Amino acid sequence: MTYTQLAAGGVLLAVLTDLFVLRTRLLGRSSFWIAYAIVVFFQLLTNGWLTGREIVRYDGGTILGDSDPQFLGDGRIVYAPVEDLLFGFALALWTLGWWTWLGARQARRARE
Amino acid sequence: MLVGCLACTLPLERLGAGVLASGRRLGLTLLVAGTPFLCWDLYATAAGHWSFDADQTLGVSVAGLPLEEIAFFVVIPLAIVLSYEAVRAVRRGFGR
Repeated sequence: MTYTQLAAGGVLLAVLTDLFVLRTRLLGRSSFWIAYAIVVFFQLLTNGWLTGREIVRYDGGTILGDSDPQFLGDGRIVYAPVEDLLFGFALALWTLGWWTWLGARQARRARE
Repeated sequence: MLVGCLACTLPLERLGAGVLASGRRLGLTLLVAGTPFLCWDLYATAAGHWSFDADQTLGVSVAGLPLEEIAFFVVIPLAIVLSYEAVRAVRRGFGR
C-alpha cells in the first residue's frame, strides 16, 4: 500500500468511527473544526520545518508527489506531502473521538 | 519542536479545561489514539514510505523509529486534546 492509500484509509476509518462507532459526531461540532483549524496551522509550520529541512524524507513512489520537497506544488503544501494533512486529520479526529467518548462514558457512570 | 508544542499547549490548561487532571481519561485516550498511528509509522518506516535523517535526530531508535518519532505520538495527541478543550472552554466563557 502507498502512503496515499493508507492516509485516505485512515481518514475514512476516523470518520466512520466518529459517526457510526463512537457516535461522537465531532464532525458536526464547530468546536472540533475550530480546534482542527488551529492544529492544522501549527502542523503546517512544524511539519513544514521538519520536511523542508529533510529531517523526514518521503519515498516518491509512495506519495502523490516526488521525493524532493518544494514549498508548494507537486503534492506538497509548505514542503510536506498532502498525505501528511490526511494523516493529521485522521489523528486529530480519532484522538478527539476517543477523548470525547471516554468523557461521556465517565459522565454516564457518574450518574448511575 | 516537540518541546515547543508542549510549551504552547500546556499553558492552555489555565483556561480551566481540566485535561491534565483527568488522569485515566487522558491516559486511555493517548494510548488508544497513539497506538494505531504508531503501528502505522512502524509499518511505513519499515516499508520505506518515509525515512529520518540520522544527522538531525538524537540518534536513539526503538524498533526502527527515532525516539522523537515515538514521543510525537504522545505529545501531539496531548496537544490536540489541550487545544480542543481550550476552544470549548473559551466558547463557554463567551456564552456567559
